[in-house]
Amino acid sequence: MNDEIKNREHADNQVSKLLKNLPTVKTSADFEARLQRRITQENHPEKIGFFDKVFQAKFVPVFSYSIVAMIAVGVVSYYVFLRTGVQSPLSLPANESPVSTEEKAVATPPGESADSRLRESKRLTKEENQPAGNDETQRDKQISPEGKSAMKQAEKKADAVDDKDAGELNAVQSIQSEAGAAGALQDQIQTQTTTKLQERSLAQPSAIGTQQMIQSSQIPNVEPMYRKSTSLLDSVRQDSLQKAQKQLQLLQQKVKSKKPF
Amino acid sequence: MHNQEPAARSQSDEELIVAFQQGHTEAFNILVGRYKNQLMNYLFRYLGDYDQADDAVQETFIRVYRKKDLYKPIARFSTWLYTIATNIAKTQFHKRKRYVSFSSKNRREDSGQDERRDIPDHTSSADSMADSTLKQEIIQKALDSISPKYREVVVLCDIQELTYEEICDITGLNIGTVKSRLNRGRTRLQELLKDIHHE
Repeated sequence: MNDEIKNREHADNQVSKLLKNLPTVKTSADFEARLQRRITQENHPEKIGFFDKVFQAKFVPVFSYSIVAMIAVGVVSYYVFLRTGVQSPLSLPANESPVSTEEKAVATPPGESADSRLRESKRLTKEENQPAGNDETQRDKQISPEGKSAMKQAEKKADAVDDKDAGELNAVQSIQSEAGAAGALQDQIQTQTTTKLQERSLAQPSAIGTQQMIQSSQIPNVEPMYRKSTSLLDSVRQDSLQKAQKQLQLLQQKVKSKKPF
Repeated sequence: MHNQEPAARSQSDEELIVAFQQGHTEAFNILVGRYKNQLMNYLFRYLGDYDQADDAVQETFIRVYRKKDLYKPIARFSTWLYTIATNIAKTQFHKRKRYVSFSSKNRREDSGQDERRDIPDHTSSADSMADSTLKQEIIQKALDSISPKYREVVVLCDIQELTYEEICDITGLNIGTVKSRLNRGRTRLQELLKDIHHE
């Protein structure tokens, strides 16, 4: 037991002796100079500029990824929004503006109106119905009171028919005026499209297609879009004219048939 | 100025640090001159690498410079200094990858001087010098191979020749733990260095 302790102590002493005999490691000659430099740098740190702070090496991957993402977004937006958003310049609106009262007034021939026609027709019928001076009194004497009442009723009916006719004449005249306005509108549309196309051609002088479009718009048979609209207007105009003519004929027949004398 | 220097140099460590706290930077320089080699030797033996030890010593003095006001004259200045150095060395030890890097030359290339470790070799023959260099390498390797907690105590006690009380203040351990670790560290080293003993 004592031997073991002694042996152990002896071994420990040898180890410690070995360690104590190790040479002392010293610092380098410029150790204090380097230390002083580090202390000075700590006391007076170098001012880093804004751009040096932002554009550091560690931020290069972040900047590169952001630039690539922005380029990708720009390319996608160009193809999605700009390329698909182009429209034809000749696309005309479907709904035309309604004809104004001024245009109606322009369309109807001056001097003529439904009221003046009605007055004339009444005057004519009265002139026809009313013989000159004495003949009227003699006729009245010859007609019985029942006949007079019948005549009065007939006159009232004739007045009512005349009012109806006047209304129908008004309708016919309005249809005629609308047809005339449609024709005027058609001309107006044509002039507007030509002016617009001329403006576009001035803005894009290199576009040959616009020149062709101008030429084609002046010739209605060439441009299909414009042709469709003009043909529609023509058909409407013709229908209205035909209707008006028919109604006129009917009215004339009625008027002729309802002449009592 | 010259008359003041010997007076300053005769002051104790505690007086110098107090003077430094009062703004006398020359006191700090004196303290650096007194303890730089001791710390270098301690940290080299603990870390096993010269450059790392050099960096740790620099960091220790910079910390003393920054935190001078934290020192209280209750404890010894050397204890406070060794405590800072030990903490820095442990941090560095955990950060780096463990490797054995012991150079036989062990000098600073940029110093311009061929500084070598002081080898207390009384013989002048090349064989003996080579032999002693080889021994030192073996001892350092053995130190690097034992556990850091044993190495710390062994280096402080057997190489730095500090007392048990000072080792307790530096490591924060009680005296029983210090003796226990010292014993185990020496036993382990004895096993590793038995071939040297027989020579």
